[in-house]
Amino acid sequence: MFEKFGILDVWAVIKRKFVILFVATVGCLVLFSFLNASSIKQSFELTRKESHEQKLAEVCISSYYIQPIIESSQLERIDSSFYKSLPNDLLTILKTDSCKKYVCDNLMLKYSREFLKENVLEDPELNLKTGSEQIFNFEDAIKLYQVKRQENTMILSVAAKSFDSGLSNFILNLLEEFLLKKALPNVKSAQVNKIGSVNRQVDFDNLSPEDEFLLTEEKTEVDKPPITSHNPKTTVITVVKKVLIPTFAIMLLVLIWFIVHAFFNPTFNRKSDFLPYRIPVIGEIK
Amino acid sequence: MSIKSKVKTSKIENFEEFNKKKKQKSYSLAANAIANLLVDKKTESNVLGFTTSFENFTKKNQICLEICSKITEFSKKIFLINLEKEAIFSKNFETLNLYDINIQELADLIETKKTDYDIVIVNLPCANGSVMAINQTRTIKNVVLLEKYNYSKYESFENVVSALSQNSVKVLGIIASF
Repeated sequence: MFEKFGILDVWAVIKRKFVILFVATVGCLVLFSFLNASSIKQSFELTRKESHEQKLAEVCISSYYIQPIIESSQLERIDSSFYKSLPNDLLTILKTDSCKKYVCDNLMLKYSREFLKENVLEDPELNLKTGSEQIFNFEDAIKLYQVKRQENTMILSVAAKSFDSGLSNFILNLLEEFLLKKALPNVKSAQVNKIGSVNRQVDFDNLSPEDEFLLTEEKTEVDKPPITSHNPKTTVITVVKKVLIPTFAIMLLVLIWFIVHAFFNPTFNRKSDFLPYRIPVIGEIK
Repeated sequence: MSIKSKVKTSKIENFEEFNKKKKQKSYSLAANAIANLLVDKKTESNVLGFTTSFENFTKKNQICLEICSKITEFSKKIFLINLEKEAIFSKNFETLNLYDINIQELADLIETKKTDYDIVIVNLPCANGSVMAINQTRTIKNVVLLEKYNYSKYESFENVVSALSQNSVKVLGIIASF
């Protein structure tokens, strides 16, 4: 069966049909790229909040009046500007690592990793670690809440933000707890009076000017939620799946067809093929 | 022109020159083999036919022309009778283009020419499935098959060899082209 057609003849077929194979390959690549242009384009864009495209963030805001405790005997000795700085002290304490740790630790006690991953406003690809290690980075934990002192007042606003109202409320309660039980005893000369709380839904992609304080203060490119980010791996996988594999499959079928056709129509490919006929090959033209 | 491009151009030229020389050498070897075949007393004739089993062998005429040119370099007087549709012309030797000639006329022509020339070569059309071509070879007696690697099929070749042997035509050899 394989007297007249062997492995070298397969190569002879490929050489003979090389131009056709090349043109067909290029044609297939162009065709499949054209047909899948939209999905390749989409793979360039990875929506940062794609699971929350239409979802609004649940923000819980509490406001506190920081009332300084002034002893009449100290009134003459202490400058009044000292008392004006009290809200700043409390604000700074709420931004410390210990506050972030307090919030993170208590969150992990109550909620599962998956739930937090799904409902925290930050990138869902946060590196969550198990065990005794910290779950969130400090830089990420700060994004769970925002603290602001209202200008020229003694009022502090604390806002907790996530995609779950229960979670936001819990974070706010944790912050209040920290403020009253940990921060205030250290400040001493102040009293914190809660003014009130409000729960709101906020679209972080279309923030109003009054809500801009809900964003992280240190606005860097990392902090700003980008709408798109390029993921090379996704693009490569898409191109391979939708362009290269179909092209390869079609070219393989074409090649198989050529080989089968050549198998049933074998040709002379070398000098030794003429040996059985006992006719000498008197010349070979290069 | 920069040195790099000059070197590149010269390398390409050298490569082309090398290929050209290689081709010319292969024609010379084939021509030498044919000349030896005709000198050999076993052929009993100085008339030789070139035919093929590959139907669309476009370079056949060129190969025939080149071989004839090389034979003339061996100081042999050649007359080429071309029976293909495409005409052949040469400055080195005499040619006659006779597409669709009568067999008797061909035989008469060969008879007259073979005494005046050292070698008479007849460029026949493809013998595969062509009764006319097979009949034309009967007047010649000795043929050389021009075949092309990767294109000449076993089936066609076997048909031609079989038809030629049935018509008492001797296949002296094969010239294979890449």
